[in-house]
Amino acid sequence: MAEPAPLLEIRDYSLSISTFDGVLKVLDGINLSIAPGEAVGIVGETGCGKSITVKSVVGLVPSPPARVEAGSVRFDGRDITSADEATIRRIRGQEIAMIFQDPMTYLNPLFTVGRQLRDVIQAKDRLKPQSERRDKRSIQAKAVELLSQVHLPNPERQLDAYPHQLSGGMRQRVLIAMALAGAPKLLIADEPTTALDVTIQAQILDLVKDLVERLGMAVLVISHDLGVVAAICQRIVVMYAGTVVEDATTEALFENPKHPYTRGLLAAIPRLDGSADSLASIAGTIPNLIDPPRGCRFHPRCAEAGETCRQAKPPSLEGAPGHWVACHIYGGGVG
Amino acid sequence: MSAASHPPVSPWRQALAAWRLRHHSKLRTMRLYAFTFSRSLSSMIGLGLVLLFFFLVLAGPWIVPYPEDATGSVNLDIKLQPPSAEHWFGTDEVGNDIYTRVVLGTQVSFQIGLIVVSIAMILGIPLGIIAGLSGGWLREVIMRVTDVFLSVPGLVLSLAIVAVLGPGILNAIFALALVWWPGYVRLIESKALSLKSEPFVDAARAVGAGMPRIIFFHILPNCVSPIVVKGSMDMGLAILAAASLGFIGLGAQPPHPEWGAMISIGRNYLPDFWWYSTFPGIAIYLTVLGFNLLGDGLRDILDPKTRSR
Amino acid sequence: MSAALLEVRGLTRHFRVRDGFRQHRTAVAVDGIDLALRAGEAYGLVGESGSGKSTVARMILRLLSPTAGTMVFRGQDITALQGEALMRLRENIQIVFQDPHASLNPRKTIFFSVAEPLVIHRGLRGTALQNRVEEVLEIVGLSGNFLYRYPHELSGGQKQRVCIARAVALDPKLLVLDEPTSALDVSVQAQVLEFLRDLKARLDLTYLFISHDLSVVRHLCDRVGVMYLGRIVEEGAVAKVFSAPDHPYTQSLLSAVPLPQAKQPAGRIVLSGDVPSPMAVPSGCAFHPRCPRKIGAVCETERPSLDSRPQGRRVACHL
Repeated sequence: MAEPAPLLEIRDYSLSISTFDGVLKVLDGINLSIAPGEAVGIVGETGCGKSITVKSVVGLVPSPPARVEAGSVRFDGRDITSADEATIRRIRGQEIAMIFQDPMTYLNPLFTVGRQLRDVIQAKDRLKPQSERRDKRSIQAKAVELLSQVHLPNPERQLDAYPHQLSGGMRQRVLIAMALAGAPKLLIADEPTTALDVTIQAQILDLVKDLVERLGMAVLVISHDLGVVAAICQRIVVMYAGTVVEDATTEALFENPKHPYTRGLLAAIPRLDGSADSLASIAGTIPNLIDPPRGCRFHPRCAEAGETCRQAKPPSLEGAPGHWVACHIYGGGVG
Repeated sequence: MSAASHPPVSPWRQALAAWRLRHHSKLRTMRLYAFTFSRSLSSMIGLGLVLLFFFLVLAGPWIVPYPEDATGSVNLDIKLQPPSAEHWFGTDEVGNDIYTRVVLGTQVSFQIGLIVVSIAMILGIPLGIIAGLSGGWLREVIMRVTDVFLSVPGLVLSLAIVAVLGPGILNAIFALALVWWPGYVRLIESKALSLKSEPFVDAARAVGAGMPRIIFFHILPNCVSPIVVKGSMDMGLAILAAASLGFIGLGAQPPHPEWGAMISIGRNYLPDFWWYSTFPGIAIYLTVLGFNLLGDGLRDILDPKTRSR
Repeated sequence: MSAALLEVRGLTRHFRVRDGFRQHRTAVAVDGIDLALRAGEAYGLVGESGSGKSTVARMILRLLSPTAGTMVFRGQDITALQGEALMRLRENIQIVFQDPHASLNPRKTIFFSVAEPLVIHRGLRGTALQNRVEEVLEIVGLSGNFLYRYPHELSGGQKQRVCIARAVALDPKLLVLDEPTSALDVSVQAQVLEFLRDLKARLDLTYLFISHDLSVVRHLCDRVGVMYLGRIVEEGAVAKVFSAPDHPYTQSLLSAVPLPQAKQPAGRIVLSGDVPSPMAVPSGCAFHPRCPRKIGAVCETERPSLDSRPQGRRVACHL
């Protein structure tokens, strides 16, 4: 195959979390892969497992109560499914970087931006051999360079600012700068613009897009907003109740959505041009993951569901090249 | 609707079913609390200790072997005897059974603790609510007075008060209560201040709820958890403080069976007659430990941050 | 033009903000806005954070008193109503907040929350109260099963329906909706939006709909007012404003929304810089430091007035 080897490959990944009420079957056979330099988005509603998939893969979900039931994770050719804590931390520090919804939570209010940025650069340096480590001057220079890379005005001056002196958009830029410190191969952005205003969101989206093109790193955007994902990503993965229901290029997903859930989601979005006369809502509510529906997890809310849907979990099938759908309608029909 | 067509269902069972439906959510929450609480060994030890001492408070007069020993009887022929089958904890310098006096001392200590904490709550909670909700000069006055009280170590202040009023159990209670309330003002003030700006309080104001309604239905019910936790911790601390006053002779007076006073007198007979001071000391230790562990356990289950949906 | 249900003139609100030790500065949250809601319409007030749109809502609800300006509701000046008259006003203007979870008392049942206005204003008790609460819950599409549940046991959409039930329990005339769907998922938002649309017709309501989400306003509202730093910069019929915005801020706001479609439109306007702090509102037109179409010194010195333009539109811009 001509396709490049994927940077991150998640195969049949299942995760459960035990709670007072019972065992939550949070993820059920997730498949997801990201090629080097590719921008992929995961969309889905609250509780669909989009965040926990990623957090679990990079070892940020405490176990117990969480437990990986099945599946494998490969990163850059290595199997990291059962990698020990130190290995995971090394990968998380150097090769995978993350940014989150609320930048203030991840910045220490007591230290200046410069101090925190320098700390991150030094921490990344510590993973390198002694000879390649930077001295004080070049660390400072690197900090300035990172801030100008994220288009923060007056980077030298901003180094002396405390987080509370910056606006939400600037904080998110600082967080992105920190993420870039280790020259990661993969940037994971978990709802990166949800806390920001529309005009600031546009700036950050432009920045992320620009960085992906300039630095050639892969980016995984997690968002509930299909617009945000559409603005950055080439490929979109739609999740529902702990399963991947559709995986397609951005174009194919919007032009030719296949899964009934994806179609329902698209019909539920109010349009800026007023083209949606009335919004179609998906009947019912998201299922309880302690006792998820048998067969297709979407079947109780699906207007097109048949007997097969109630019995068997639909396999993920490649309908058109690069367009995967997990729905019985497209694989042997609905019984 | 269907009740008429099914006569066998007794009205009593129907009422029970209706009650369970109404309180289904509460019952479930209670079960969750009980489950979480019971999973923590230290919480259970705390609960066990507190229940044990409460049992002694209620049943003490009936289970002690020599009830008259707590009221000043003198049996000099058996004074200062070591622990034995007749006198489990030994006897003191006038021949009174120490076991009896320690058990009956529970009553005294718990009385002091309960009264001190209750008075502190009765004073502190309304002041905290007023300070938290009013703002302006009223808040400034209440909080600054509170600060003054909090800036002096509680025990030192109460010592000074008792020294002025004269030793005695009532004066000790009065002094302790007087230094205890500011803690509640602080707690409730900050809680009320944060609750005041919650959207549900705004929503209540928007539907026309007056101040009394907002206080009693919206602010106070949401203050119950921290009050319960602090109350439990304070019971232990108040008992310790009362014993301290007793120890330096400013609290309960002999022959009243009070732990602090007993240790104080027993101190003169150390180390040969070790049992005299040791057993009241253990009683204080276990009471304070019990209330603290219980308070910790309650905080773990009542703190909304640790509770899942 | 039909008579205004609510008319707001020169509404202003300042906040004193502590800045350092013993220093106070004034933040201008709302800066002299004029607004008229017609009976039966849905008026959308959009703006980014710090634009003052929620402060406007809190003043109309009389949860916050204005620094200056007047508010007239059905011909009555409500700016300083007190006592009995204020209680009657509360029956007629109600609000639904953004976060449905935080706007329900966590220690009280759904029954309590929905019953509260009925107890306060109608003095209902016992069976009459229970019947009316069930009736109101019915209106918002919730069954009686929810009566004795606690907020944490309900989903976000259900909680928002409870909040709406509480707000409509007294048959108000005006419903202020302060970002009612921004905490909800897309499919739940769709349900609530459709339901709100239907409810407005059924109960003969007027909406003041406050939101940062332009698509939602486009979907639900008849007219829209765009706020920037405490001022209304543009107002008009939703379809007109959204298809041909006049004010440069409205233009960039609309252009900044990422669209859920394969191709993003070319020529997006991305504003540089941040929204200035309400403690240091720029002189002249508040938008001039970020404006891509600034025409000159007049923008920096002179505050543009909100002038009427054809088709019932109003724009505050020197262009």
